[in-house]
Parts: sequence; structure tokens; C-alpha cells
Amino acid sequence: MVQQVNIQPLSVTQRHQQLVTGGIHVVTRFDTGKVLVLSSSVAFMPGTAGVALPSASAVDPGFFMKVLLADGNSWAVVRAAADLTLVPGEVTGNLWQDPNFDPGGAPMELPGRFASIDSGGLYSKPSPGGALEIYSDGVSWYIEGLGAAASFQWSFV
Amino acid sequence: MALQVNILPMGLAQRQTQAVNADLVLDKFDTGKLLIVSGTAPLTCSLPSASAVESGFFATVLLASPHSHSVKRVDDIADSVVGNAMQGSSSAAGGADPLDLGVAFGVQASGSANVTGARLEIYCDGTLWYLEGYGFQDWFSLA
Repeated sequence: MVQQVNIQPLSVTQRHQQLVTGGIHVVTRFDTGKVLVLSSSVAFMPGTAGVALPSASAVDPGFFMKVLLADGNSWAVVRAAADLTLVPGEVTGNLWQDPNFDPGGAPMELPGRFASIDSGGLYSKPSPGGALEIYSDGVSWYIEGLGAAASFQWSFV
Repeated sequence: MALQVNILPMGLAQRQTQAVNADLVLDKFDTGKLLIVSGTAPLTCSLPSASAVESGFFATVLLASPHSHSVKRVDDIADSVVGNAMQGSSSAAGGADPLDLGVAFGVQASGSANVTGARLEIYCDGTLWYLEGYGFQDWFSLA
């Protein structure tokens, strides 16, 4: 006899938080559901610390994560680096910020910016409170960002 | 007879919903809630000290009536609130850009009839409060 048991939590409780204070945190499938808070008490070279994405195929469909900026450092909020497996073209999404920001204007459309593996990455400028929602269906990455004027910039500061 | 049990994880369940019809000071037990602010007068959802909730606290505030509702820290608490509010892209009077909350008290809705449907995502890491607001042009101002 097979008895099916559906286990359902009564409610969603607090999210699993992970603090990133330095270095590059390479996302894995086990990061799903997390909130990554990027916060450092010391200044560092722009882009040398933050978050990097692997290929979307390295995570499971339904993966989701939030990235929050807690300070004014220039974090790599999503880095596409040659030593990682992020596949060009598999990132889509938009960032909402100052329409006068240049280059790229705003909202910043991401797909073309991840077109090649060496095309740089997305970096923050001093803007505590910036936020990124990241999803994956196992094929593509979907990124939705919200920040103040010029809080995100493509490639290094 | 052996009993075989298949355990099927169901993912995240539906969120707990709470109707807000009076001023409310959030506490740690409000994590995960969908707070639906209605009522016939402006209401305030106050954020306590960040240390009063656990890191990972999150909540969503939906504005469901056309009043100048606020989401802001309790006045005598110095903890910072940071974040931004996205509110349209074609307004002339301040609505063109996301509203930078910087280190502020929080946000207040405009009170116009069309603020219904505005959404604020709240998160706390135990030190800072983070707000993300989504609405149409000029819906939000600093509280």
C-alpha cells in the first residue's frame, strides 16, 4: 500500500540570509531561496568582491535569490568572468534606475550586455538599498534590479 | 504489511495574509506576511529596531485603499532604512526616477485614488531595513 503524504509548511517564515563581506561568491544550486547581503566594513578594489553566476544549467528550475546592497562599495553584483561557466546570452532582465545614466540609459536592458563571456559584468556604485531579484528556469537567468540614480553600471567603475 | 510513504515537497506554501485596518508596529512574528493595508484613513506600518526582528525577516505591504499610507521606522529609533521606489518613467514632478530612500525614515503613498495596488517589499538583515517600492508615477514620497 502506498500512502501519499504532502508536507506543506504553514507559512513562509524568514528567509535564509548569507552575508558576503569579501571575495566572489559563486552561486550554486544550494543558494536557492537565499538573500545575499553584500556588506563590507572596509573599502576594496571595485569589482573584486560580490556575486558571480554559473551557467543556468547548474541550478534547478525554480531557483530564486535576492541580492541586497548594504554599503557604498563597488560590488560585482553579477559578474560574467572568463573563468566561470556563464553562457553568453543566457541572462535576460532589466534594471530600473536613473534614466539619465550613461552609458546605456535606463532602464538598463541586460540581454545584450551579457552577449559575450568577456563583456564584463554588472557593478554597483555607492547606493545602499539597491536590490536584485534573480530567477532561473534552468535554461536562462532572469534578473530584475531596482536602484537609485546610476547605482548600477556595466563593467568596471 | 510494509507501508510505503512518498513524501512530496510542495515548495513554498501560500503566504499568510493579514488585513491592516489600524496602525501597526511590525514584530518578528510578522515575517513572511502579506499585509494588505485598507481602511478609510491613512495608516502607518512602523518598522521597529532592526535588532527586534531576526535577520531574514521579510514582508510585503500592498496598498488597498486610496489614502496616504506610510511604511516607516518608529520615530524614536535611529536604525537606517534604505531602498528605492520605482514609480513610472514619464512624470515631470519627481516621478521620472526611482526614489532613493537613502538613509531615510521610509515612504509615504501620495494618497491619490490610484495608489491602490502599490507594493512595498520589506527586508531586514538585522542591522538595516530595506524597502523596495513599486507603483505608478509620484505615488511615493519620503515619509
